[in-house]
Amino acid sequence: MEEKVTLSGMGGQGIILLGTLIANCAMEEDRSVTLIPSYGAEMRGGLSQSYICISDKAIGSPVFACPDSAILMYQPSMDKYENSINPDGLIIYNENMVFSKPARRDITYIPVAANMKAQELGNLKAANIIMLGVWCKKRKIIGYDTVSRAIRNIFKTKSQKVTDLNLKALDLGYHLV
Amino acid sequence: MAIVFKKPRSMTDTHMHYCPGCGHGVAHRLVAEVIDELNVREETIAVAPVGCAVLAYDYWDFDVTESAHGRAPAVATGIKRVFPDKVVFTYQGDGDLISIGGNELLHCANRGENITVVFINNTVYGMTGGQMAPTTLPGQKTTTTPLGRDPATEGHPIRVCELLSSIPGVKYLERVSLDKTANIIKARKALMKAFQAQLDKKGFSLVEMLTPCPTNWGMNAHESLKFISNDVIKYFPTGVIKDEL
Repeated sequence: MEEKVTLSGMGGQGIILLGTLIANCAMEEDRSVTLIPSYGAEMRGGLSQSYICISDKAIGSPVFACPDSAILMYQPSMDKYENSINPDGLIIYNENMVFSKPARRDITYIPVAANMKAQELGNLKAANIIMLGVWCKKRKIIGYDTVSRAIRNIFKTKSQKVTDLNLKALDLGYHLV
Repeated sequence: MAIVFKKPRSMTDTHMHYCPGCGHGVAHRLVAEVIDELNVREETIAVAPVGCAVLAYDYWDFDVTESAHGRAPAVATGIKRVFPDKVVFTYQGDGDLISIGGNELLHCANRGENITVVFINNTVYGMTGGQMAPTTLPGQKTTTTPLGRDPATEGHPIRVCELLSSIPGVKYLERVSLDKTANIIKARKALMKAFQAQLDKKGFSLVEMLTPCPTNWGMNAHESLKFISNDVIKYFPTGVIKDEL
């Protein structure tokens, strides 16, 4: 299998963290993986991206123009990447910050009220993990247990409260679709 | 209905990416207003820095070129010598100007190049996350001086205007502040004078602007203006340092 994923959002929405998380999970499941995190010069805000390739074979290039799936957290991300997704691909987008109507008929769009649901869980910052839950369920590339373990690991320097919040967020996203 | 205030002709409609409370918004506008008032928009070539204002060309509606970090005065020299009738200015932060670019600034000033330098002094390296700059105050906490700048080991802040004042080719030096409305008005006047000096072919001019950086100072916008009024101005007094126009 081979999957190219683009994650994009505003600085502060946890796109870099999400990229690292997905890449580590894919590695744990014995796949080849490349990750290119990217962010602009702005001290606050600005577009932030993670480009991930996951494959059973060696990956020729970490750079790609057309992802198979994307997680897009706000409008500028949709503007930038909507037309680059491969046909039959998937866009999971944060409908609380993306207001344009889906423009294509040849891909699947899944809107998620990520901000609202994260707020209900108790912290806006968990929105990215909710999106991750949806992506895991839909793409079936990394397993739920692998991600749970990775979340426990990544947040172990923070409080148990933060870890629990993110595990809840993963669960919520996973069972949304 | 009479129009009493509007966006300068020399500014674009592009949304700025600067942090809330940043001084760049005001500084960009003041430069644009002066370019408009002197009616030189179509003759202006600016040289943008490396720093938060690296994308200044998105916000000004006149020609702007990029330069390597600190080398804006050298690039400006080349442009002005080839096009002496253009209005050429650099727009530089304190790291760009007097840290990595100290040498280019010194020699451009010493040659008395007929350009204007707009110096944005926020006492830290902004875009890279708030490290100590040559202009950081004694005792000021930054990411590379977590215990506060110690002059015994880190030296004292550099006062660029005072440093350049002994150079014969330098004709106009003024330090202004963007902390209060009255000072912003003075800042605009200083820029007018500096750009007029260039139009009158007098030589090198520089306006140093004390600007807020709430994000890297760890303050909100309001506190950051107070920090300038109460602390920064004490070390960097505003006023004309040199006027040989």
